[in-house]
Amino acid sequence: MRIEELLRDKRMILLFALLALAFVLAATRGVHFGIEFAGGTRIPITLERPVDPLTLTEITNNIKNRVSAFGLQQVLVKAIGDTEIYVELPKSDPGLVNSTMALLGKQGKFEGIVDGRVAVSNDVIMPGSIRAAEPYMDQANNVHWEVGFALTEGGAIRFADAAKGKANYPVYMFLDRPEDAVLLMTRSEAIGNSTLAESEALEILNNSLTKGNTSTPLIIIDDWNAAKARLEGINRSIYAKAIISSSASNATTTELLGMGFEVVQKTEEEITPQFSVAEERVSVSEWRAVGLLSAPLLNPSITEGEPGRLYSISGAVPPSIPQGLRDTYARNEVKNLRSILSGGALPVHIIIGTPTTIPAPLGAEFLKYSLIGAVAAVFLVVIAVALRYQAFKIAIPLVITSGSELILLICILGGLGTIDLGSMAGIIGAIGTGVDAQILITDELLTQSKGVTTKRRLGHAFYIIMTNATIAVIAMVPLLFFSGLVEITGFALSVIFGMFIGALVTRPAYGAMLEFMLEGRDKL
Amino acid sequence: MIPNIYARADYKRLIVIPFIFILISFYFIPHIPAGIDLRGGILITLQTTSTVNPEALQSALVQGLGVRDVSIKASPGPIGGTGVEVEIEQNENLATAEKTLRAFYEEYQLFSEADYDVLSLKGQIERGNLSAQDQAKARASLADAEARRSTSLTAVNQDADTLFTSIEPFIGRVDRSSATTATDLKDLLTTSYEQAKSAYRDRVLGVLRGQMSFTDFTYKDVSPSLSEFFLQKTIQVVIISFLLTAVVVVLIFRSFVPSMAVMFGAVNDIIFALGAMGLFGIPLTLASLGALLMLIGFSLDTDMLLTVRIMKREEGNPRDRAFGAFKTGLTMSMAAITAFAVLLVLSILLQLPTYFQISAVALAGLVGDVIATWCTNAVMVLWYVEGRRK
Repeated sequence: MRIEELLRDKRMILLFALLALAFVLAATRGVHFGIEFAGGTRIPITLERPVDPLTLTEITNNIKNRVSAFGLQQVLVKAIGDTEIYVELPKSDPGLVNSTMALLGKQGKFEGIVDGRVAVSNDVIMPGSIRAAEPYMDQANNVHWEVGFALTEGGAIRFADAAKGKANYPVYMFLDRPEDAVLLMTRSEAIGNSTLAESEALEILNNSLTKGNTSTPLIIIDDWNAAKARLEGINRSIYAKAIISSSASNATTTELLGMGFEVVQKTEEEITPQFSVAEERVSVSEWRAVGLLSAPLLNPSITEGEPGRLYSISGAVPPSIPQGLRDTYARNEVKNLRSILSGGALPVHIIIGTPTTIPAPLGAEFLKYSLIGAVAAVFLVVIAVALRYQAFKIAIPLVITSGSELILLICILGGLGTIDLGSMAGIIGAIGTGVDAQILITDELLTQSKGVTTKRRLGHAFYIIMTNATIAVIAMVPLLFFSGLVEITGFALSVIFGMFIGALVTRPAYGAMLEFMLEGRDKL
Repeated sequence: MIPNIYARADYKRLIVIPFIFILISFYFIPHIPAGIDLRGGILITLQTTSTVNPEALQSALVQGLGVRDVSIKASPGPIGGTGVEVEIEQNENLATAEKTLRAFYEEYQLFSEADYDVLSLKGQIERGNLSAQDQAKARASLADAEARRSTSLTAVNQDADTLFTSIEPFIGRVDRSSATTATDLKDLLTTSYEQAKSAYRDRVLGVLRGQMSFTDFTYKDVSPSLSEFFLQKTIQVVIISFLLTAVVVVLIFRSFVPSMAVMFGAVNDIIFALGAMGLFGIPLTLASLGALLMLIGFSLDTDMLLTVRIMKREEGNPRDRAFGAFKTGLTMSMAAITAFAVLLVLSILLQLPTYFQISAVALAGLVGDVIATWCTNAVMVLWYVEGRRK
C-alpha cells in the first residue's frame, strides 16, 4: 500500500473533511474563549425566588436586551439553575462594569401620553396592582383580553385631568421614550403600512412624538441637504443621539458622527411606524424605534374628569388571526402590556452580586499556559508510548491523532459556543481518553494474538472503545441536561463531543494509519 | 519481564489491598476542605512585586474584616514577583443581609398584593351596586385583605430592620425616615445592600493594598445562595450520573459479578481520590468535581479492557489474558498519569488553582484505579470465570 492509498482511505477522508469543516467554522465564526481566558467581568445575579424555565428565559432575554440596547456587544447572559444568572462582559474596566451594574439595577420608565400630556407613568401605578384576567372567547369566537391596574391617589387626579374631554384619543404607551435623540427616516419609512399622504402621516407621527412642550425632532432624509441643514440647527447638548435605520448608507452615518451625534441604529422593522384606524381616527399603534409599544384608546366613560383609581386596558384579537392562535396572541398581548405598565420590570426582584473580574493579560497568560500544557502532555505521552512498544514510527500517527482531536475540539466548541474553564478541562480529559484508546488499538495490532486478521483485531479494540465511549457519554448526560450548572456543562459538552469525534472519526483514522504502517509485518 | 501475578496460586489475596486503601481514604475524607464555590466566600488572586508576609496579611484581614477563616497561599509567580491567593470566608453579616433581602422581597410582594386587594374591594363596596349577599362577602374579603396587609407590613418592616442592622458595619446607620411607603423602603434597601457589598469589597482590597502593591487581580465572590445551589446540584449530579452508568454497565454485561466489579472500580477511584483530597488539602470545588466525574470515564477504560479480554476472548487461559490486559492497561494508565503529571507540575509552577485541582484529583484517582483494577477487579472477574468453568 502506498501513501496515496492511505490518503484515499474512507477513514482518513472523513478526518480531513471534519478538519476542513472545523477550520471553516473557526474562520467564519471565530473561536470564542470565556472570560477566564479572554479576560472580562462576570456579574452574578440572584433572583428573589426560584422561577420556572419559561420565566427564567424571559428574564435572561430581558437582561440581554437591556444590556445590548446600552450598546454593549458580546454580552453573555446565562442562567445557572433556577435562581441565578450570570452576566458576562468581555471587558474589565471598572467604569464600564459599574455602569452595567447600574443599568441592571435600574428600572425602566413607562409613560402613557394623551394628546401630548403625560397621563400616567409607572411610578403612580400601585405595585402589585397589575392584574391580567384569563383571555375569554365570546359567542362570535372573538378572543378578548384585559389587563387591570390601580393608580395612587395623586396618579388618579393627574390621569383624570389629562384624559378630560379626550374620548377615543390614543394613550401612547412608551417604554423608555428617548428624551435625548433625533429621529431620522425616509419618506417611505414614515408612511409605513398606511395609505396616508406624506403630510398627514408626518402630522400624526409628530403628534405622537410630543410630550409637554418638547418633541422628538423627526427629520426626513430623502433630501439629505435639507436634512443636514435641519440637523445643524439642533441643540446637540440636548439631542446627543441620532436614531436611524441600520439600512441607511455608511456615508450618512459617518456624516452624523462627524456632526457629533451618537448614532443609534434600529432595524427597518423598528423604525417603521404602524398606523391603525379606529373610531374614525388614525393613530400610531406601534413604533419601536421610539419605544412606543401600544396605543389603546380612551373609553369615553373615563374622560369626564372624575378621578378613579382602578383602570383596565382591554381588547380583542383581530379576526385576521387564525382561530387556533388567538389564545396565544391574547396571552402575548397581556404579557406585553404587563411588562410595559411595570416599566419593563423583571417578573421577580433581582439581587446584583459582586462582580468577578479577570484582567485580560491574566486571562491570555492562562490560555497560553493551558495550550503549552496540552502540547507538552501529548508530547511526553507519545514518547512514553513509543518507548513502551519500541516503535518510534508510531509517534507520527499518535501525534496526528491527538493533534487533530485538540484542533477539532477547540475549533468546533469555540466556534459554536464558548470555551470556558470547564470546556478546557473536558478537552484535556477527552485527549487523555483518546490516548487510552490509541494505546488499545496499538496494543491489539502490535502485541495481541498473531494469526488473527488486522481487521478482526481492530474490531476487538473498537468494541472496547465504543462501549467506553457510550458509557462515558451516558455518565455525562445528567450534567448536561439536568444540572443547570453552567460551569460544568461546558465540561460535559466537551467530553461528549470528544467521545463522538474520537470514536467515530479520529480513532478509526488512527487505525487506518497504523494498518498502513504495519502492512509489511502482517504478511509474515 | 514481569512474572504473571495472576499465575500464582495465592493471587486472590490481592483483593485485600484496595480495601486497605479505602479504609485509609475514609479516614481522610472528612478533612476535605470545601472550596468557595461550595461554601461561599471570596477568592482573590493577584500578583505583586512587594515582599509578602502571609502571617501579617492574615492578621490584617482577620482584624480588618471581622472574619475568622482566612487562608493565604503565596508562591513565586510565572512572570517574576509573587503570586498570592487569598481565600476569605463568607462575611456573616453580608450573608444574613442577602438572605433577609430575599425574604423582604417576598413579603413585599405579598404586601403589595394585599394593598391592591384592599383598594379594589373598597371600590366595589363604595360603588354600592352589590346585592346584600355580595356586599357581606366583599366586606369579609376586605377584612381578610386588611389583615394580610398589616401582617406583611410588619414583616416587611422587621426584615428591613434586620437588614439595616446587618449592613451597619459597612455603611453606617441608614436613615430610613425618607422612606414613607413600602416601595420607597424597597428601593432604599436595594441600594443600601448594594452599597454595603461594594463597601466590603473596597475594604477587602484596602487591607490588601495596605500590605502590598498590585494592579491586576481577580476577585471572585460566591454568595451563600449560589454556593448552596452548587452543593445541592453537585450531589444530585453525582448520584444521577452514577446510577445511569450502573444501568448501562449491567445492560452490557448482563451478569452480576462483572458489572459489580466495574462499578466497584469506579467507586473505588472516587473514594481514593477523595481520600487524597483530604490528605493533601485539595479543596472540593467545581473544578475538582469535574475531575472526579472524569475519573468514572478513566476507570471504565481499564475495567472494560480487563473484563472484555477475560470474558469475551478465546485465546490462551483466562489468567494469561488477565495478565495481557494488565500490561496494556498499565500502559494506558501510565500515559494518563504522565499527562496529568505534566499538568500538575505546570499548575504548581504557574499557580493555576483550577488546573492544580483537576490534575491532582485525576492523578490520585488514576493511581487508585491501577490498584483497584488489577488487585480487586481482575481477581473478581477471574474468580467468576474460573468458578463458572467448574
